Amino acid sequence: MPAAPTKSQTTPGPPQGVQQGEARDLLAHAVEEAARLLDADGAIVYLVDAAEKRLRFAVDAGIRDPEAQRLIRDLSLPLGVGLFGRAITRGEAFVTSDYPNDQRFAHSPIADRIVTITDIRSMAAAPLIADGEVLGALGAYTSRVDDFGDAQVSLLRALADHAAGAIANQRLIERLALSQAELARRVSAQRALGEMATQLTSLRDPSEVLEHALRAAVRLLAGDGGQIGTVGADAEGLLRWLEGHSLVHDDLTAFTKEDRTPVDDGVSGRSLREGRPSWTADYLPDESFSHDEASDAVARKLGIRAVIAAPMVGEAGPMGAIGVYAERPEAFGTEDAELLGLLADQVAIVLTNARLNAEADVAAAALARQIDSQRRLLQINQRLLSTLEPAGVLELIADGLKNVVWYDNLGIYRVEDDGTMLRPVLARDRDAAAVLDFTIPRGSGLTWWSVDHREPVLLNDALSDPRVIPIPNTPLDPEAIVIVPLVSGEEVIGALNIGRVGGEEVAFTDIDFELVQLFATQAAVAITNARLYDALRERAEAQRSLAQIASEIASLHDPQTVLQHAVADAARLLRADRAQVNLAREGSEVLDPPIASAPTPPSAEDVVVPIGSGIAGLAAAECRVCWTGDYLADSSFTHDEGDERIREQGIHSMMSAPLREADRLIGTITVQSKQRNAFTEEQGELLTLLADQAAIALTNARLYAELGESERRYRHLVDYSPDIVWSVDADGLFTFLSDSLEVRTGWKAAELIGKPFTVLADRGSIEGAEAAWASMIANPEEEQRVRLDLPLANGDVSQAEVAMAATVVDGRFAGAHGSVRDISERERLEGDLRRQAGELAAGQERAHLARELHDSVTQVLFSMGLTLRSLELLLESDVEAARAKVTELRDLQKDALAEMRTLIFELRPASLETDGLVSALRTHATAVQRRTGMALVVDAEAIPRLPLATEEALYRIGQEAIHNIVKHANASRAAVRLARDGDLVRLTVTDDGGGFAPGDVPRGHLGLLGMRQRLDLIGGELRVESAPGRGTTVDASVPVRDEAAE
Amino acid sequence: MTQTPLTAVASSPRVVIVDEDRRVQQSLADLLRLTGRVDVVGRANDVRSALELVEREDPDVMIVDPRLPDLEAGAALVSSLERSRPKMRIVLAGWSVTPEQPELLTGACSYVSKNGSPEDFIAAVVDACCTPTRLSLL
Repeated sequence: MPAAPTKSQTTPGPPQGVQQGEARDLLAHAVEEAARLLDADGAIVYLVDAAEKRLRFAVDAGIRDPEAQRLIRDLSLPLGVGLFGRAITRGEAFVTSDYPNDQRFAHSPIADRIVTITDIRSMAAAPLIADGEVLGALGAYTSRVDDFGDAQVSLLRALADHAAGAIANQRLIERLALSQAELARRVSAQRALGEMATQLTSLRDPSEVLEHALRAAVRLLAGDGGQIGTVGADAEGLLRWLEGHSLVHDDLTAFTKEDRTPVDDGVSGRSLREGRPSWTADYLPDESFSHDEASDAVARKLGIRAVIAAPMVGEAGPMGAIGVYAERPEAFGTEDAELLGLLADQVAIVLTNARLNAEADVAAAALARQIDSQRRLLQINQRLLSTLEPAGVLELIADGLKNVVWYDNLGIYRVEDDGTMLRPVLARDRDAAAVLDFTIPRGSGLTWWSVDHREPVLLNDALSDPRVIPIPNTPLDPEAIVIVPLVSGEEVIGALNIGRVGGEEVAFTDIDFELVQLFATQAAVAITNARLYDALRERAEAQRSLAQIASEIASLHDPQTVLQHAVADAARLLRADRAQVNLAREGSEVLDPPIASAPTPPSAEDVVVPIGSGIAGLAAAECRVCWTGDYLADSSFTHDEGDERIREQGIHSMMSAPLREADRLIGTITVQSKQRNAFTEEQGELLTLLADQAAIALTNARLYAELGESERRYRHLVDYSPDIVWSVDADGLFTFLSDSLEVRTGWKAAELIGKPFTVLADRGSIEGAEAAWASMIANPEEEQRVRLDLPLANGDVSQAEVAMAATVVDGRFAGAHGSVRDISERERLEGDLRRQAGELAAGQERAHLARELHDSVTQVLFSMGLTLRSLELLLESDVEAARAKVTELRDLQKDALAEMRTLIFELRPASLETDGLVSALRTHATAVQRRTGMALVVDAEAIPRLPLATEEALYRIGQEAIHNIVKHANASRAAVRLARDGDLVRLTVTDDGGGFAPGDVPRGHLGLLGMRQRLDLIGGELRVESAPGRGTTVDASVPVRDEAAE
Repeated sequence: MTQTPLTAVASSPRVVIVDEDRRVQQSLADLLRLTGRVDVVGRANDVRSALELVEREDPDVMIVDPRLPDLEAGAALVSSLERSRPKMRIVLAGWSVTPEQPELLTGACSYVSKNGSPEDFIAAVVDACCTPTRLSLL
């Protein structure tokens, strides 16, 4: 144990044990007593210096001579020399009657000199023995020879024993005092350590922790300076200093990069290697550890002697070391090591905590950011649900993204429908105007690259990439960019890019990248919705014009029906009691009796109406719509005998409009009501419209009626009909082709005359045409019809229907004639009409399903709200649990997207075209599984893409069957299987639920009827197998037709 | 199973959640547990499993979204349990601001709308769970 750090004033001279006043007094008292009781000239005490194994003078009584006094004070004899030494080695009293002449003991010249000066003759010495240890000896002397008898020696022995006991006691007391002081010192050190630990704990900056710890260590160990540093393993596994401080007296210096040397040398190195405190009494000469020159130079310069160091050990191994030096040797010992060790442990804990705290701060910030982005995505999702209008949603996405991943510029692009351009739909911040001005042509720049490769791009040094091209009128700055393609189903529909101007400091992180992709997903949904919205609007417009075309076609073929519709519409729309159409023959002065009327058909009582009298006559005469609110009382028009009938029928109001062809009157349409003032000017306009429609129908009908069976008319029809009329000889070579050939196909008739009929069949159709030719020859009486692809002069192909009949001359087959009708347009119209009918039928059900699905998305969003709340609560207390919540949120968000996707199928079945049946079924099944927890497997083999109508029907049937399972079956698992089975495609939905007895299902339940109807439309079949407790299998099969047979 | 004390609910009420949507069950259960004020002891997603659950757990409170999947099913469940378990409290959680079926609220029922913020919703649910309903004294 080193001396206490306080610089105690130790005086050289008196041997150990006598420096304290009390011991000296005790011995002084003993020698005086001995001299007095033995009636001696004087008495002396020598004490044993155990360390040097010598005897040293302690106290005396009786020596007066100055020289003897000086000599005796410095006297130090080896044990065994002199009379005292003899008594001590023998362990018992020794007496001489004549000192100078006694040869029984070894003489010392100095002792003998003192004896001579002081004139000593008789001397007796008794050892001071306590607890078996010889402490010294007490002796007395006289100048007389043979002066000490047995009684005196016994007395001396007793005095010596007494003095030895007193000395031993005194030593014990001193030792006790010393250990008490040591204890107090340790207590105070511990207290200081505790205080320092508290202080350290309150620090969060590791550098401050190190500084504090170093100052505390130097203070506690009373050193002159020290150093503290963290260490870390380098590539070779060597520990190197990382950061820390040196303290020399009060001068603190932080480590520099040059200080990052390996730490296997010196006391610190040894302490790190051994994992425990280590110290040296004197640094420079100590060879027990390896030295490095730099440290030795510093030690010489600063006068470093004693050094102590302790390692700071964390969970993962050594984190650093702390060392203290003193400018004196032997300054440190075991207890200092223990103290420094404790301090180092404390620092290691604080540093570990600081590190964990820093990590927790980073984690909390990352979490907060994720929560913010989830919140914003949630908002966007809700907005997406509530609107089809995309602009607001894209703005929201741009805002939301900026809050989570800042950017200097943002652009959202949409791929043009023809796929040739990327058109900007939103630009933000830097150069926004230039971005909005520039439509990116296909294949140019990194954005197109990303779209073409369907790959998000993170590029932190944009200038270095040759794929990057600048947008016109924007500066070429160093930039970090992220580009994400917007994907909807299988299709890339656009791109989102953001950029930051600057170098390394603005780099995007992987988390940034991931977040941008999340937001891009939402942008894709918004743009998909926008497209859907546009498509819906276009379709509505098309439907309106289709309705017109359809009515025109109808009027051409069946005027009577059109007239009947006109009067029915007139009666209904004008709330009339009766409506009728009267025709006027050319040049006639009367309107014929009604040809059509509603609600009852024309009767025999109906009469002719003179043009010019009555309301209808007036309308006919003046060729304008006329009406009256009180027929019989109205004198503004000519009355006639028709009044009688009007009175009989109780009619008061009447309105009539002329039917005109060009400027010529062809009839009237008239409405009647028993109410007064039943008709208004507005209704007059409506009646005029109906009249015009009826007139057109009639005109067409008349045109047809006027066409006779004559050659002229035949030619007219042939030339102006859209059909191509043809004839061939017995070898199938063209002999005639009508002029419409050129209009329809671009071929000139002259080019094809003499060529085989197959020139008008495209490659794929030749076989069909030849088959029809063969069966016509076999059955000359039957008209043949065949559909074929008609090759056009410009290289295109048009669909056509060919009707042909054999030409038989004198009972022999002589060739054939017929017509070719272009049916592309008809096909399209028919298809549109079919689709409209289908949509109408499914509309109600769709609305219902859409509502249900909307509910399911709402449920997910609600769950997200609750989970976010949980996350907020956990964030403060339990970061790990909070992290788990973020994962749940992500899953929920995926669910919401899946539900959205299903919703889009509901709104727009055509989405099936992009996603395909299999993908749509999987999306739906995933959504249901996540919602209900029922295991739902989709097992689909690779089947060819089916016509949209078929895919839609199968999708709806699958959806309905799954719905039934969820609602009624109480099943734990279900499977959807889609497979090719010969020329059938088979959709099978099975479950392990309760099943049902076929007779138990009430009519109309389970939507089985609806499924059957759907399948009927596409020629499919439905089979349902079930029994109570045995689950249910729904099996829908549809024939797959080859395209040629369509 | 111990009897619910007549004077006050000493410990956290034992609650079951009945909702058609599994995710709603999960997130609601998690959040309720975090409040530390109720003890969620089970979840069910249809009428049948709800009845089994109530039979098995004998809960103090049932939180139920009555669309299971239609409102009629929920109404049947609620009125059946009101008769068979008069002491169990029922908290209806629905999407409208006011209950779609006010007639259900005559018994041991309260109504909480899912339309508000999650904070308000959960506070209202916890309140409804922890407020002892009137007990019919003989």
